[in-house]
Amino acid sequence: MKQPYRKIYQECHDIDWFAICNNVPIHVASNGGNVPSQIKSRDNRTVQKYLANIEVNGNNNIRVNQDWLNELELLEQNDDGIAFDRNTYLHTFVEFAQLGFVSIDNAIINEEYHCRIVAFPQNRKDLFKMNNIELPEIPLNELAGVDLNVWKEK
Amino acid sequence: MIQTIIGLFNSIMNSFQYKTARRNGLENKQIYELCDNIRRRVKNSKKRKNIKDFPSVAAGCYTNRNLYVDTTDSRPNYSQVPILEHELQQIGPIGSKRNQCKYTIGACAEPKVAFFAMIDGWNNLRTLKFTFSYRPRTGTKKKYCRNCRDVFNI
Repeated sequence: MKQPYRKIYQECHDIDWFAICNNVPIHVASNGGNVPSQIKSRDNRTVQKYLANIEVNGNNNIRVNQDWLNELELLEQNDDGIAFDRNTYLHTFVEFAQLGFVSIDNAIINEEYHCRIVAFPQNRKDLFKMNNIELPEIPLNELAGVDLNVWKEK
Repeated sequence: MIQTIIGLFNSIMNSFQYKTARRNGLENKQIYELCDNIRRRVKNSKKRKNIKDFPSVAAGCYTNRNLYVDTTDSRPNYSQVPILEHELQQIGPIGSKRNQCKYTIGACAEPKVAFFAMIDGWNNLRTLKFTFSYRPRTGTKKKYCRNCRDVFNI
């Protein structure tokens, strides 16, 4: 029987998981938070391996959620002497957006998890085509606080 | 014979590669650089098809002798350090959760680096200093959870 990720594994890892939500292929970085039970660990690993074989074509039709980045920069202000680096933050989210996913971060704001769309393909035609791979469907309420207005269909 | 001794010495030092470093006043920067190494390691794992997930947190603590850094991807045997085990058990059984915090007691990176400091001979938990904790995927800071704040007074 296919098992979801163990709770302790979810807490200790920042897992890339993939699903369909409202007919849109999404990628979520779990950030030590909850991974829905519909996501089975072996199936998700198969998807990760499949995507690792696809060459990212440097698709420039990617949009980044600038409002979220501005908010994050304010949250990151601190006295550790290390400036917030947007490129470092964005690199995995842009990678999966280039593959055709709406890429979401399960960010921690005020000690609670909130999903924020980080990067997404600008056009619907660039969305990931599931020819050889099947993604589980999850309801929108699994993505706490996500604002779908950020991603408008074109 | 000499080469065997050198090889043994190198393997012992390599096992502490991310666990100890000379303190030079740039402790936070070293955790940040550890995150850089983790990102490289995860990226390379995709090329080798043995895909690794990011650990959720990288943390460090330092004494007047050494800096100890590590991540959340495994949990040590706390019974080897009775002082630390006792302090963790003050807030609840190790491996359990309590209402005040969403994370499992003993699963965080902070008790893990405290463990390595104490295994290395440091015996005063109260004088351990902790660096900022970082999320390896993005290089952003992570605040200490309630469990760590209560155990280590940070």
